[in-house]
Amino acid sequence: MADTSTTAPPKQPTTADAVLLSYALGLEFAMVDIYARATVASKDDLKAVAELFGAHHRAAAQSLTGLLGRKAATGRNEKFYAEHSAKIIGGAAKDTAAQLAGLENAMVATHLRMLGTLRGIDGATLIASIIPIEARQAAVLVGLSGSTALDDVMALDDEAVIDPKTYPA
Amino acid sequence: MNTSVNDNAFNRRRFLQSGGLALASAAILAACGKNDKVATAYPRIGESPTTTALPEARVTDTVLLRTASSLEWCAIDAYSAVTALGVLPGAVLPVVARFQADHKAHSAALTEIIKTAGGEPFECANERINTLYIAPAVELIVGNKDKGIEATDTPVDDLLLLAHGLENLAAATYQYYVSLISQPAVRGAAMTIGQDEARHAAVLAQAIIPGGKGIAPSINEKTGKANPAAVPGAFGSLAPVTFAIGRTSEAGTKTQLSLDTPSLNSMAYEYATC
Repeated sequence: MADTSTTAPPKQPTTADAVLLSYALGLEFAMVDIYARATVASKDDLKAVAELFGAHHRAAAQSLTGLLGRKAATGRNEKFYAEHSAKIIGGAAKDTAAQLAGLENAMVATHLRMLGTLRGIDGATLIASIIPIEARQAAVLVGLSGSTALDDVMALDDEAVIDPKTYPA
Repeated sequence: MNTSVNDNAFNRRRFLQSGGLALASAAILAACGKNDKVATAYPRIGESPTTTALPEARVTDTVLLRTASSLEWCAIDAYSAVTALGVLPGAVLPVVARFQADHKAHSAALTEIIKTAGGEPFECANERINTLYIAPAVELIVGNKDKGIEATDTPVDDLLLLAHGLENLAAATYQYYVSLISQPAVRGAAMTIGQDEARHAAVLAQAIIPGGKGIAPSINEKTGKANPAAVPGAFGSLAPVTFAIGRTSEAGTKTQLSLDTPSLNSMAYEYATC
């Protein structure tokens, strides 16, 4: 697997990279709006956390937009937003935290799958800087959902990858 | 006319002189080039030392993965040392045991990737990271009479800060190496491990500062330094990992340590062995 390449990888995103990164951008926009909804629906610690994590997704979206330029998606992934924002209904804080933890883990799994495909260094580097923050956010939200099990904190579900067939761009 | 003939003669002479000078220069240069052979002909006392060329040190995907593996072993060894001190509270021990097991699993995963690539696995700690970062940190915690270092007055906090620092270092290393790894599949595999390290760091940050206060970045009011945070920013940081441990001075300060991701002088190159 390693050391088989004889040419340096490209710096800029390739055409195929741009499609993947633009899809990731649509998901980030959706996460910004889901967190905005969670901020309104929550109180105390979870409200502050939702505000902070929403801002992190906004920063990720801004960076992806900057990288992609005119190839960037201009709006959120509607189907993803509609399906998951409906679950943020202002119920118990633990339930909301559990929902958000699941979404963060899905974002991590999606970005990891993407990273294994991206050829351009700039896109790969940006996605690699987003992944650890989403993983940390998932870990925090698992805690806020009331779980103290390390298996839950460390859980990364490959099946949770957000699929363009289910949630088209 | 005469002048002209003389000029021509002069020119020919100048030309021949120049040619002669060039030939002489070439002969001298050639002699210099053969200087080694000439020199060996002289008798001398003793033997000249033989020199060995340095091995080739290319930074390949395999080298990066071997280095990552060496860092995993640093963490494995550090957690063993931390547990052996016997000062950690019972509630923290299962966390330490789990994280150590995760690092062993990471090393095993890296070994498989390296083998698949035709490389030689590296299953031991990074000597340079141990010497530069971990050994000095442990000395600040347990003390060293020979060096006049007193043991820390806050061993549990310091051990957690060291563990937190090492997990952050590991997470940053995988993130940084993505920019150096050539194969997309290897980048994905590296960050699958890197995001694990980030989760470890988040858990430890909240063990150091429990509750909601340990989630976002904050400043220690006493020291003016940044507190550990579970989610320290919008993007993974590649800045040096800093933390303060050791015996509290009269001024109320501790020794500040700074850890950097393994760079060219800390890598497990292909010629390096355990």
